[in-house]
Amino acid sequence: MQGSANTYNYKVVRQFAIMTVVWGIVGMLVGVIIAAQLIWPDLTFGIEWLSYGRLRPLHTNAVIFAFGGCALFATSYYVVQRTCQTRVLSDSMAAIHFWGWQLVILLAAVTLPLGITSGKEYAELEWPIDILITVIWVTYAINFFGTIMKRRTQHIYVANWFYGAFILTVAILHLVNSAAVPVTMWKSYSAYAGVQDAMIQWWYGHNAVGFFLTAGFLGIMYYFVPKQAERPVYSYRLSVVHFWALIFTYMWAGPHHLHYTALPDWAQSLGMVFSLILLAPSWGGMINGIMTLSGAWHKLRDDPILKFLIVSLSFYGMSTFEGPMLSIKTVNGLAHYTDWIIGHVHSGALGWVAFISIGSMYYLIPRLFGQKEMYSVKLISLHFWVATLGVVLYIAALWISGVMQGLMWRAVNSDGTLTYAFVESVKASYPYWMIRLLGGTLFFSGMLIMAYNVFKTVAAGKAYDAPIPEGMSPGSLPMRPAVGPMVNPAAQGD
Amino acid sequence: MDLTSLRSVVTLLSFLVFAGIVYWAWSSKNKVRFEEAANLPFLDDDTELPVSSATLDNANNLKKASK
Repeated sequence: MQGSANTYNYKVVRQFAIMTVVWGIVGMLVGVIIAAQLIWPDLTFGIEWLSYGRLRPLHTNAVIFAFGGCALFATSYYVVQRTCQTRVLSDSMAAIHFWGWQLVILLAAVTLPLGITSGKEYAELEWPIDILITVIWVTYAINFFGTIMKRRTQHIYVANWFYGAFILTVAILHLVNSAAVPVTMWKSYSAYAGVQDAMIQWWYGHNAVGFFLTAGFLGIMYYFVPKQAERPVYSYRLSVVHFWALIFTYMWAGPHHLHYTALPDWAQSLGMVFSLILLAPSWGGMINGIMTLSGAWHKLRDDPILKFLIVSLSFYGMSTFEGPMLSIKTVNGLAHYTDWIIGHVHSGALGWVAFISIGSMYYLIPRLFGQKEMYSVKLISLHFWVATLGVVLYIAALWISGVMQGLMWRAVNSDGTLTYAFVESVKASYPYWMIRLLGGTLFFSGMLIMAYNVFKTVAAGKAYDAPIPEGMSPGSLPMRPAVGPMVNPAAQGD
Repeated sequence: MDLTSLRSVVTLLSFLVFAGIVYWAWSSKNKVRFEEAANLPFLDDDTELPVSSATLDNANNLKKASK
C-alpha cells in the first residue's frame, strides 16, 4: 500500500512513466499529421479545429510539456527518492502534481484546437490555465526540495542539482513571460509591449530549451547513464563545473532568436556571444556522459537501453554544436525562418530529449512493475534502429530544404529584383517534406513498438514499491559496494 | 559609479565566482567528498528486485505486515 514509510513512492513514478509513453504517442501523431498537412493542405477537410495553425501549438505543447514533462517528473521523483534514500515528502502532493498536470494537458488539448491562445510560442495557454500551472508547479517544487531537505545521505547527487535548476528556473520563466492582462475568461494580452515583449518571449523561449529541455534531461543523464553502464559518472568534478557553467551562460542566449529585428544591435551581439560560449558547457556535459562508458564500450554492443542513452548524447553534442553556429548573425541570416531551424530543433528534441527519455523509461518501467527487464529486449533494439533511422531522415531532409530555401529567398537578379517568388521555394520543398514525413512516421512507429513492449511488461508484472534500505545514516558513506564493475572515477584520469 | 561600470563589475564578479567554483571543484581537499557523491546512485542497488511472482507476493505481504 502507498503511505508506507518503508518504501519509496513508486506510484507517482509509475503514473508519470506510463503517461510519458501515452503522451509521446499522441504528441508525435499530431506531429505526423501536421507534417502531412504541409504536403496535402486539405488533409483535414478544412475543419478549422484541425487546421495547421491550431494543431501546430498542440503538437509542440504535447511533446514538450506532456511527453517531456511526464518523463522529467517520473525520473525526478525516482532519482530524488533513491539518491536521498528517503520517501518523497508528501504522497498527496505527488498525487496533486500528477492529476493536476494531466488536467493542464487536457485543457491544452481542448483550448488550442478551439483557437484559444495567447499567441506566445511554447506559452500559448491562456491565463486561467497559466494560473493552474503555477499552482501545480509550486506543489512540485515544495515536494521535490522538501524531499532533498529530509534526505538521509550527506551529499545532494548532481542529478538533483540539475532537476532543481529545472524546477526553479521554469517557475521564474513561466511567471514572467505569462504575465498578462485578462480581458475575458479566455482572452488576455501580454503585460509587455513591442520589442520588450519579443525579448521577454525569447528569453522565456530559449530558457525553456535550456532549462526544461536541457537541464532536466541532463539530470536524467547523470543518473541513468551511470546506472545502466554500472559505473559512476566519468568525472563528478566536471559535472559540478558543467552545472554552474550552464547556469551562468544559458540565461543570456535568448536574443539570438531576434537577429536582424528591432532588438538593439548590442543585445543581438550579446546573445550571439553567449550562445557561442554555451558550446563549452554543453560539450563538457556530453563528454562527461559518453566517457562514463570508458573501459566498458563493449556494453554498447548488446544493450539497446545504453544505445538509446549514449546516442542521445551524440545528438545532444550535434545539436549543441549546430545551435551556437546558427546563432552567428551571418549564418542566422541564411537559416532563420527556414526548415533548417525546424531540423535543428528536432535533432535536439527527437535525438536528444526523446532518446534519453525513452532509454530511461526502458530502465524504469520493469523496475516499477517488479520485473528484471522489459518484456522484449529485441523490441527495444528494433525501436532504437527505427527511431534512429527516423531522426536521421528527418534532420537530413530539413538541412537540405532549409539551406535551399535560404538561398532561394536571398537570390536577386542583376536589376535587384528577387529571382524566386516565395511559392517557388514552397514547391521546391515538397520532396524534402515527403522525406521528413517518412522520418517522422518512422519515429512515431517506434513509439508504438514501445507501447506494445510496455503493455506486455506491465501485464506480466505487478506494481512494486522498492523498500528503502535500513541502516543508512548520514555521513557514513559509502555503505556497501555497488554491483557490477565499479571503477574509481579518480583512477580514470579526471 | 555609472551604469556601464556597474555592468562591467558584475561581469567581472560573475567570472571570479565561476573561477572560484572551478577551483573548489578541483581542489584536492574536496576529492573524497565528490567521490562519495559520485557513488550515491550505487548505494542502494536494486538487487532487492523480486525476480519471480512468488517473491513478489512475498514482498507485498511483508509490506502489508509492516503497515
